[in-house]
Amino acid sequence: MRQVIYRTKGRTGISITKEIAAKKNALLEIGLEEVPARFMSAILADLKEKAVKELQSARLPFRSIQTFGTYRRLVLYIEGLPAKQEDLSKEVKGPSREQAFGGNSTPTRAAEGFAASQGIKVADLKIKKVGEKEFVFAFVTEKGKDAAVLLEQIIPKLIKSLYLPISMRWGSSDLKFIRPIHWIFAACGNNVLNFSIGDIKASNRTFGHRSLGNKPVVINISKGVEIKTFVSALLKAKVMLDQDERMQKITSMVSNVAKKLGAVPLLDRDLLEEVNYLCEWPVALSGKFGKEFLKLPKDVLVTSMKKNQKYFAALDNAERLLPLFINIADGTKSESLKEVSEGNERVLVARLNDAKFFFEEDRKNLLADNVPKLTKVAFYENLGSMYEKVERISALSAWIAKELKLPEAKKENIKEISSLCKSDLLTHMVYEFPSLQGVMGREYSLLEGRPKEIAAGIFEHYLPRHAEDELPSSMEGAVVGIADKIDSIVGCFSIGLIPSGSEDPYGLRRQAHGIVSVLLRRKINLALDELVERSYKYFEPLFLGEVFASGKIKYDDVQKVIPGVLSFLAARVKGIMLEGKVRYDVADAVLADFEDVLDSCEKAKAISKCLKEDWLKGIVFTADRITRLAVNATRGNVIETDFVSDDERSLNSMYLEVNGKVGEALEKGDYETALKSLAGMTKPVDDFFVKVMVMDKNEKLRANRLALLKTLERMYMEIADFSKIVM
Amino acid sequence: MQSFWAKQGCVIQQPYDMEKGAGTMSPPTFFRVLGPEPWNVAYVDPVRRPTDGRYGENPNRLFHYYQFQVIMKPSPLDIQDIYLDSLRAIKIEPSKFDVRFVEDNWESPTLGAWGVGWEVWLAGMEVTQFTYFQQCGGVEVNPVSVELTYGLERIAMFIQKVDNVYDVQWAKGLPAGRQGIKYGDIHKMSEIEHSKYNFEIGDTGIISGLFDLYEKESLNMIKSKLVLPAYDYVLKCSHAFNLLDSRGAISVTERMAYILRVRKLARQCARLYIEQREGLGFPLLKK
Repeated sequence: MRQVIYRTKGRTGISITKEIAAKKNALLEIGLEEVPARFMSAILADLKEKAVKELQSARLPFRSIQTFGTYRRLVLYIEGLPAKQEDLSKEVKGPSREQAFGGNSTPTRAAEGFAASQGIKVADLKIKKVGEKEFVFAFVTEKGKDAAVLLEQIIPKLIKSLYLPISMRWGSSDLKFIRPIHWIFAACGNNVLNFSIGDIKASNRTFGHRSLGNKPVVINISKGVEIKTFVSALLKAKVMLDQDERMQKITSMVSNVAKKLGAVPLLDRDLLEEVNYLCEWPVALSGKFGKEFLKLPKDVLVTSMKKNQKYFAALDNAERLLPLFINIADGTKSESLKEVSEGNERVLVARLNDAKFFFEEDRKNLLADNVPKLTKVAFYENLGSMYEKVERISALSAWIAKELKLPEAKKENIKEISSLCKSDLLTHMVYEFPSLQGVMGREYSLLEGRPKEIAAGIFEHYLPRHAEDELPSSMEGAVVGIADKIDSIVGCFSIGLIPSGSEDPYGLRRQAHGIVSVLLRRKINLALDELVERSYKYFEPLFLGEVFASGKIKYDDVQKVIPGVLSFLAARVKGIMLEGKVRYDVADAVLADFEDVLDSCEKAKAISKCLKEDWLKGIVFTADRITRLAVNATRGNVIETDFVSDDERSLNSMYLEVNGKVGEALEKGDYETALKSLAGMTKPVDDFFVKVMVMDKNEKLRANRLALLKTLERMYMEIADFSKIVM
Repeated sequence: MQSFWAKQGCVIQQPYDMEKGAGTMSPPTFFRVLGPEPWNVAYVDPVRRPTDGRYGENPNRLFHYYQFQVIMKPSPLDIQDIYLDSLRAIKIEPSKFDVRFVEDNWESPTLGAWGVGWEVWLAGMEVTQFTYFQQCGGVEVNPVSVELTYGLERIAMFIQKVDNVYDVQWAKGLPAGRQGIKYGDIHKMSEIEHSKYNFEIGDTGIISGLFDLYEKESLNMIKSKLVLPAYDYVLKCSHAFNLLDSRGAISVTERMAYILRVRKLARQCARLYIEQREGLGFPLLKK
């Protein structure tokens, strides 16, 4: 195969000035039917990322690149492109010198053929040494192509390769896109780009707001295409293109309307993002609903407004919900606002009536009545019913409570919380609004007259629900939450549903992260290996039951599941450590033998603090030396009567002393003191290595000395695998 | 509305005479969106959804209601504009009512069908389902049909500005000054009785037995290559399943099994239909 080395020509001072004078901008707009709001950010990000890659591989440098969008358009703006692609010098390796010129300097067929294939004369071939041998080379310069011509190839490719979370076909076309394409605006400098996507030919024409005219808008590009001109032409046609500006506008509109009503709006981030991509010309309006609905739980009202109608809720100064809403309409003229607002009110009342119906139906039963019916609700595929899950959560929570030596009152609470934690899954309200799981459990519990701790625990066992969410405020919620989450993880791992890459359909990483965060926040010491083993044990009746009897679905042995789950959890702990600026190698060292989140983090903290100390370096070197020899050990215990020298005996007694101190400090969780005590081992070990030949010819002596080192290694490993630390 | 769609080249059909959960399930949609033949149709279809029954007490939810169904195949590129014009044809100026196309993708596991699209909002009220079919009866459709399903009660409530469906004026009072007939006068009793039947009284043993019988008959018809009779029994199965479902008479796993049984029949019907149209040389291609 021929080797080709690419080289772009270095620019001279003169050509740079010329290039700046010739800089061009390019603008692409894809006009579509309504793109789902939830995908817009990801699509715009992908458009930018792929455009950058394409431009780089086409050797088209640019000054800046931006994307803009509304539900009806995706816009890419590239500023400061050169008029032409950079020239490319290619150096192509040909046949060897002997093959090309034989013994003398007469060119052979091989030389002629190679020169012809590169479009140059034989006389222009050069000889170059590669290693020991000489070869013929062709130096060819490829002239840079026109930027506009290249964009005509790049952009159709870009459009067709865009990330499509949902793709569709329409009409008789074979094209696939997120929604049907209606127009394409594409220009570079003062040229309209010449390409088509399906039947749509690119032009310098865009469209205004659909309801406010939907008129074609032709953009004058005779002086070169500019985003400023484009944005202001669209503004005249009632389209606010820039999503950030639009978001700001919406936020201030909602706040202003609320202020006039003496209210404080709940500016939910997800709702703002969604509303931002549901309008091109935001107009704020407000409406009200009957006070009688305020009897419903606040979360129900807020969720119904948000999920069903995309309305913002508002509070009074005492944070009580007010019977009103704020809606961002799209391009509604002021003379129609009143009618739209009345329409909005009617729909919301209908929705709230539904919510009221669900609420009243739910209240006819007690939460506890739902529990037996959980047998009809599936947990994950093949992992039995929610009822069985609740039984496992209860058993596991009780075990954790015992391990943590919680007071009886808390144990009782945990028992009640765990038995009811999934009971709201069968309420009408949660069926209608799944995001209210836990919330309804809390609200209905309070209405049933249960104590606050129980209600809070039912809600909190789901926490944290996402990366920025709050953590349980009570020990009860924390314990049941840990049991619930580890049950999901262990169940899935046991039947091979293990997250890989970006695939994590059951959100197990989030749950593992939740467990770790809760343990750290509440400073809970819990032996995770035992927790996983327990959790697995509660799955055993299921694994031995009829679903698995046929052998079609397999489950893994506990000995495989424990290390799998532990390293999965360790990865989350490591993530948290690295976020907290713990060094990579230190994290690896303390997680080498992982079983307790809090301990691992405390150890990492202690080591990180002392990293600069000489005595810590001493520990690391010594531990490393010990580990290297200790691999040869055949047993782990010394036989004191086999010692033949005082050097051996003194190291052993030093070990006993230090080990005692280390153990004491570890018991107290005082890792810094443990480290300092361990440092006391450095000198004795050094002396030992100077005076004693460990790998003695005498097998008995050798085995005993190695056993001594193995014993020492165990002591070091109690804190960390120091050999992983880079000094 | 009918004359508007007739002007767009739609055949105006009458309601299909069997129980169904959506106008989509009627043969003028389910079958006609399959295969290469062009097809434009509009019809009113009464639908039955046992789980939505509310004993006539909820002002917005009904067990039985009316859809106005439009299919255009292939979907015209300007279908959104045509749709907005259809609202103007019934004296609703969409731009005055904050018209929105809010994502709502549609899927019918029992029919092995799915599509992407929106629900169309007028002043926050969903008045139409707008769907580009991608698959039907487990078959990728090509060309793509667009389906518009108007909720007629919703639109009537919107035009008449009433909050309760039972207050919709169905017929004017004659002579003038009399109350006239309202939606509730016609439908309330049926809502109450059917809710009672669906949720409480219906014999689930009989209904699940019927499901089995309907399924058997459908399979027999498929064997005999009588695709339209076979499909009628698929509709029967689907309704029997909906009745069982509304009673909470089936567990999650059973539920899935029922859905799969109906889907299997629907798939076989879809394939058989395409085969038979092909045998006829896809006659509508020439029209």
